[in-house]
Amino acid sequence: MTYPQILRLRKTLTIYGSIIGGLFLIALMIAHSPHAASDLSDASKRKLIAIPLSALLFSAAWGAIIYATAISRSLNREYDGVEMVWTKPIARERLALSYILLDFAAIVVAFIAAAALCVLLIASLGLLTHISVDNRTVPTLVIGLGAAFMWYGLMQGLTAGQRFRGGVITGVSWAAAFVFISLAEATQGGIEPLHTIFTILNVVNPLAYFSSYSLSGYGAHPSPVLPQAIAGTEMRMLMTWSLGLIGCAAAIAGWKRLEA
Amino acid sequence: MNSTYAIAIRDFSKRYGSFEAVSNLTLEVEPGSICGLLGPNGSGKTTTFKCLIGLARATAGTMEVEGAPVQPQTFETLAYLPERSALYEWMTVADHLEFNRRSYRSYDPKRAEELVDLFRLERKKKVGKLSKGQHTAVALVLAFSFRPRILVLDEPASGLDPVFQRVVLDLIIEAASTGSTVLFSSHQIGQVERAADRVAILKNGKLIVDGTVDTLKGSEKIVEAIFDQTVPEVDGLAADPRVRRIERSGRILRAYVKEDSDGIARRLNEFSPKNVSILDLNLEDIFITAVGGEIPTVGGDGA
Repeated sequence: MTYPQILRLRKTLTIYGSIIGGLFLIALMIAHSPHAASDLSDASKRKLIAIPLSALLFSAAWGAIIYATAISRSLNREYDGVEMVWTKPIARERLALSYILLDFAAIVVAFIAAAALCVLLIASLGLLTHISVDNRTVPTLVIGLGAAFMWYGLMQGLTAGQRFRGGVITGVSWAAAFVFISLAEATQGGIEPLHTIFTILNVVNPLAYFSSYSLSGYGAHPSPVLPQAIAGTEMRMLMTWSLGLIGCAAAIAGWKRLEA
Repeated sequence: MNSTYAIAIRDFSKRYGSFEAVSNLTLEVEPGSICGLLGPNGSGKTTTFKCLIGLARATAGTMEVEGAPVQPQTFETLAYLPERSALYEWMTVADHLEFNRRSYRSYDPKRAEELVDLFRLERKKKVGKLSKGQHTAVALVLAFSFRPRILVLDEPASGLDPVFQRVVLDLIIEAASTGSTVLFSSHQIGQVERAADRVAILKNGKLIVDGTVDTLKGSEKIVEAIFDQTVPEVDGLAADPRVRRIERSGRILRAYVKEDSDGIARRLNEFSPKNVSILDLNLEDIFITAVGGEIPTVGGDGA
């Protein structure tokens, strides 16, 4: 029953693979340029290089987040041919859940593919052994994938029960995500009531949970763009996945209620 | 099956806000029969189909297929062909067949291939590149490829040329001959007349005609008189209780007669027409009469 979605995901993963493959080649050329190569040829400098795995996962999570939003209205998309999918011998909610599980699997594949290319790039420079598993690896993995899932779930929740095409909502969500973070940062330590409003708005902003990575300590400090109660690492891990699940549940309910 | 009807629609109403699309419709279709649902655009045919198969919710009434409301598993034996194309434009014909193969336990690949050849479809062609008629053909292939017991077909010949319209008709008749029940709508009344055992006509969401084709056709005769000049005034003809209505078109006068068509013909002969004939009513006449459509007249006023 999910055959069209399997074809669709195969197509989107191919496009995604081409894009990150292209970016990988560009990065490879830059990394192997004469200037970069001379820096890395210095043995004393090489010794000092330490690459935290969390940094690679953070980069890979961006790929997964972008891919997740690109496929995040798979149920809404089906409305164009809903007479076809809703007249198959499967319950609507089961079909919707199958779509969501397939999409999630594709998001994980997108994440792994991006992470693998990051590792391959490092390996091409002979620095594979410099990659270290640090104490931020798990939070980065959980929050990175969680933010992708949260964004996906919220977009599904907003669009699945709609008759109109939800592409605009996905586009606007990206703009809103950056604007809310910027406004929360800009009002920090200044106009406190406004800062509070923007941090509250950021509760449903996946980027607010994800974007506070820094080499100095991802998760070590509470996120300044979220309300204090959920700004810590554990709460961010919990919130991203919870909001993603809530969004998916709303999507299934909305799709079930929808009429052709 | 705990019902004698393959399809049972009882006291069905569907409302969109203040607009009542279908009102208090009762329609029961016997197993193995072909029922044609006719009606002008917007009369509620598609709404009825959508509610019957669960794509939309009925405001009131009950709708059953083989004695029970439609459940997901009902679609193992029920095929629905929607009025508008619901195919995936980016998928090929072969992809759609594969989708069906994965969806139905009773999918018959041999039958599907026969139908693809019958409609001369190219398997590798993307649906987006097909004509409107070919869209319909693909949808028909999908609908008939798993040998369903119930077929609900909304405009099954839409966009097809006359040759393929005949093919569709044959498929419908063949399906019924093997025990399937067919409920279909069409604007091509000739098709309905040829295939359907029974006809229901909807107008403004209300059932206004329901009966077997033979009964409906036998209910009236047309007495047609052709005059050399203009049609004369025939005193009292319109008020005659045997005549349901009269229609004038140029030099032609038609009287729709409930009984004693010979008597009416004799009466018209008194006005020295060029020719008088008694014709059987066809389904188109029944439809036009029922929906009250005004037929544009040639060189004269309709009565």
